[in-house]
Amino acid sequence: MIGRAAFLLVAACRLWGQVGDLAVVVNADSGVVSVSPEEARNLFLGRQRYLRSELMALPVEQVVPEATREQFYARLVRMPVAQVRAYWARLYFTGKAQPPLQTGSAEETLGIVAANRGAIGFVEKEKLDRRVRVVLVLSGKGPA
Amino acid sequence: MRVSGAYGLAVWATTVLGAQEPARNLQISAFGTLGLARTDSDLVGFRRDGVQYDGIFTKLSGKLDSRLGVQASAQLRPGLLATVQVLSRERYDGSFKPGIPWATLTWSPAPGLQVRAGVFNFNETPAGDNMEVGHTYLWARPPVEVMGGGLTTVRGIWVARTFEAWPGATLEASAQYGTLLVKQPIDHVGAWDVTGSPTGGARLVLYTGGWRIGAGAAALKFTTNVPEPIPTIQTLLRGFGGALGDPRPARAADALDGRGRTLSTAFVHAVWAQGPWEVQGYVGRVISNAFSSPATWQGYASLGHRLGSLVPYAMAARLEVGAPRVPDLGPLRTVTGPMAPQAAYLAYAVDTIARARAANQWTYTAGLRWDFAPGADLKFQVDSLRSPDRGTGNLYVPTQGDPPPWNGRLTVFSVTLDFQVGGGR
Repeated sequence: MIGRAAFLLVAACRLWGQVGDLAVVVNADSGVVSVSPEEARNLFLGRQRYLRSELMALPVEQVVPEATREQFYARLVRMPVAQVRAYWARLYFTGKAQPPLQTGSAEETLGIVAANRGAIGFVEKEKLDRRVRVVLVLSGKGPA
Repeated sequence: MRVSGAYGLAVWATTVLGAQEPARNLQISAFGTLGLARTDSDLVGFRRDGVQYDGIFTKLSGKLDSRLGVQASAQLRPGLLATVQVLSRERYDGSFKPGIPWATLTWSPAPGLQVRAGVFNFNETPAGDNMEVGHTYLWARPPVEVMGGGLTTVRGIWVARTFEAWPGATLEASAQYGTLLVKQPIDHVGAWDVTGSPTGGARLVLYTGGWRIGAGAAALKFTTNVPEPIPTIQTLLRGFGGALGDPRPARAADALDGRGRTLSTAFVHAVWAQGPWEVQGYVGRVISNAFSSPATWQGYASLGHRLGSLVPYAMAARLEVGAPRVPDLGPLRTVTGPMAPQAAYLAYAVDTIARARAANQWTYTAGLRWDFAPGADLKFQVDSLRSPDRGTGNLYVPTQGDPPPWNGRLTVFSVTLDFQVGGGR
């Protein structure tokens, strides 16, 4: 058991190192210039449905590659993706909220955020472009 | 049929609430559990909640935990979500006839404000409103000691307001009001339809870091009477009271009334879910003036630790029911002569009804959850139920009359496969 835990810890550390800084981004016209880690947590866990600028939030979740999503939730809410999925099933199947819109790439995330004023997503920092505004950075060196 | 109904609801809501175009993102998703379970006794049956018809015994059975739900949901416009759910599970009559336990419109009209109206599950416990969706919680089933009541499906309205309590902490204050949509089985008799009974409550939940801490209260007033043979027993008690010239049998008859009785509860709970740990606890107190629902203390503590896709877990749950309030029957217990057998039978019936609710029990649970694929898990669970006074109030007793020669111990072995299909966007 201890050996398995150690293996998982090493694997998690390797994975951590594979994903660089993650930028939480919003639409440039959203009226939002920064987002605290707690706000981001509430937005991506469905507890907060509006951005601070009172626009209805549209969280966008990049699911490919899986490591990006794993690292996003590990750094922001310190939960494994399986747990996040179960958490969202609870909200979704009780009619409380719909889970984040899922995308297959950083380009797709950036396109949706650029096209929707209330959208908020995350991408690896090196994939950023000028269409979106960075409001929070989750460092690859450790949890936010 | 169901899906078109959901679409109809979506179109109706769109029209009424002024959206400019019909729902564009109707989603159909499903959830369910395939479960197999057995116990080590044929003297009492184990059931997971108070709306299942009877229990499971030593024969392997799929009916305890198995269920299938299909959900249609549509984001009608920003901030307006329609949800309709069809669920098949064992009901009060033993059938798996599908029902609609969930049909809501959820509206977020302003930052921090959410309103939900329609048919929904109102349960104050941490895994209460999602108790039909096995994939959302750690165990094979929520603890029966806490969630066994079954008085949870309501038609009503729920309003929640969220605030920033302090930097890094969010407080959600919510209140709900509605009427029950529930039929409960009464063993060997039939079902008690409590539909229409009003219920309401309020709750505060604090979210900070990995914590979710809640407290609240709720109340319920029964507006329907219990089914036969209780009304006949009441009539006979009143008749004997009149014949004997003593008011006590008639007072005992009044005590058996269901209509007009109230049930209130207060509770606190806490959940820690961050990193590999998932810990939660709940304590609730139920006070009632209904003969059929004595006062109880109930609670549980649960601990799980994730190791990759595996989560071993353990739980202890407790239900303590107050001593049965056996009505004073006065001279009815000492009647002699030709009416003695009927009087003795009536006294026996009242004693049996009082005893039927006794359920001072512990359940110790150990299990393993394996998240083997996205949206799917397999759980292996063993429950050891201990009832020192051999109370069977939470169990099904297959024989009528005197208590079975059960030793107060029951072990339940379960395997469940939970899944969800869809539910992402």
